[in-house]
Amino acid sequence: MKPMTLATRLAWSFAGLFLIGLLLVSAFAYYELVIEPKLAPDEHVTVPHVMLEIAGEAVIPVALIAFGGWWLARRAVRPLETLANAANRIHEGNLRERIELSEGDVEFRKLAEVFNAMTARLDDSFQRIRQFTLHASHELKTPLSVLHGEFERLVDDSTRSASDRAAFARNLDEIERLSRMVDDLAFLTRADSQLIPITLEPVLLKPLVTAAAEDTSVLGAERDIRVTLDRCDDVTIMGDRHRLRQLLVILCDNAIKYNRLQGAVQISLSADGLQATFTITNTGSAIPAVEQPRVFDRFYRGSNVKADGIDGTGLGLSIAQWIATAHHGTVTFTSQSNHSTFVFQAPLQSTQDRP
Amino acid sequence: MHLMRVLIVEDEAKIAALLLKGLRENGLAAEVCARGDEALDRLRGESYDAAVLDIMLPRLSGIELTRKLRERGSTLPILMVSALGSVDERVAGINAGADDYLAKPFAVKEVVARLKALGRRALKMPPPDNNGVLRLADLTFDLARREARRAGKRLDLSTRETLLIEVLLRHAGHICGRRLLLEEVWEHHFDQGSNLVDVYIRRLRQKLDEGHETKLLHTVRGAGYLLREGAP
Repeated sequence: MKPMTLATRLAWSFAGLFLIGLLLVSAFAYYELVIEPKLAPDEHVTVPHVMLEIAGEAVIPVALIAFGGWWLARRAVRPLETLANAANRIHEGNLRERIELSEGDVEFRKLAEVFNAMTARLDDSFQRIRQFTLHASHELKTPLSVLHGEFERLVDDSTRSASDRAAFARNLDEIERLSRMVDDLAFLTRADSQLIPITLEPVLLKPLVTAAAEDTSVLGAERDIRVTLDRCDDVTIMGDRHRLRQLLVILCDNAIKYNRLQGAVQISLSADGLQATFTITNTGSAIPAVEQPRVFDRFYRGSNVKADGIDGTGLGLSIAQWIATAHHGTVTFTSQSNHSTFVFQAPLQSTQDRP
Repeated sequence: MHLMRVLIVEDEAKIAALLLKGLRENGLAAEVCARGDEALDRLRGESYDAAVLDIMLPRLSGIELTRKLRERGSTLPILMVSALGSVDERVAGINAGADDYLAKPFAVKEVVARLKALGRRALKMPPPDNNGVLRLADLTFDLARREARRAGKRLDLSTRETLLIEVLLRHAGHICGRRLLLEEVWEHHFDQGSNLVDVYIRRLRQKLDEGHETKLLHTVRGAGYLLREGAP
């Protein structure tokens, strides 16, 4: 059978309902006006009286029509719900999502088709952007290598003055910073395209955290920052050792970088409930409230940070967040007047996972 | 003295030229080849002491090239370089049989340092020890006890510093780049951009060189650090 449009289907259904209602009303009217007077002919029965009775009995067909209408309308818009759910899943970042409407009306099928075509195009555009970024970062490596090589030679050139050579060395630092940015960007782009493999194996977090805390303390000592490891439990999660190390290093480095002179850093690792919780708190000016929702955005760097001339690519926290998500975990933060706390949480390795 | 002969397999002409110049200036005999399949023939036919392979090559990728060489029993030291610089690519390279891996953009000096280190390894040069001790001038490092002494006096080093001095001593006389140190001492296969290495070197230098006439730990600007007797 050729699928009907929604308008046709609703029109037919309502017509049917009205017909049933009409038949019922006619039946009642016939009973009241023709059959009943014959059974008990009563001179006192007035026309208004009869009309009232008919109206009372008409409540049944009217209710039937109302209920039927409601039921029909509900059925008719059900595909909309499917559509809304799909749109929601796409909103959550899955552009591969396609809507399948097995039954339904021409209008909805058309809408689903348009919707699918739209997401396919969006998906395609995003893929292109990622490909572009990947190629761009790849292509940038060559000139960066060449520049690095040239400046290395200049720094070594003993015929140049000491001040020139110092300037060349500073340029080398900038080239390295640029390289790191390109690396981080390539990392995130590959992560977006699911090209970064995460090998999950049981990882004991304690040694990773202890090592990170030790390095943090050494880096902190340079600026008189006191680093304490308050608590470090034996905690095992399913994870990728390299990536987890990277995540810890990002959070620890930030705690020093955005700290104040003679500040403090507190680190702890604990298991609460089913979660492993790594917490790092540093003193230093808070992240401005208006900027807080953007902290994990790519290339976001705090306005107060840029003014202070603190070095960074603005991609560290995005990478940290990606790593956490890949471990089914989260990175969250709170920032108050004089300190900020970052928390990494990931599910503990459950007992049945244990080899 | 026999010059180390290195084949640079790189299709990016500018990088190839840069490496060629850098390697020659640092006392290596270098040649360039731009294609993977051609490189395979040359590496099979002639005798080289080491090869620098780019991963992305026309015709035959660096990884396939390495695998083919290893399948034929070649023990040629191979340093792989690539623009991607990810842990998985590094693993793929090492699994295929490469001896070392360096991400672009690299410091030419680091390439040279790693090639020389590979050359030493290939010559089966034992670490300069008699009974598990690395030596440089009056600095000794007991591998079993993990204990460093300068002029007989024990240096008080943290675990990290101990590992750092060991890596530097194993490469004594050769530059260790920031990346090499991050990888070997910290197992960081990423560069966070902090001055971690510099800070540790500074601390190590204090413990190692302070109060000694001869300085052993030197900085080579834009390239890295090295242990050697006298200025580099």
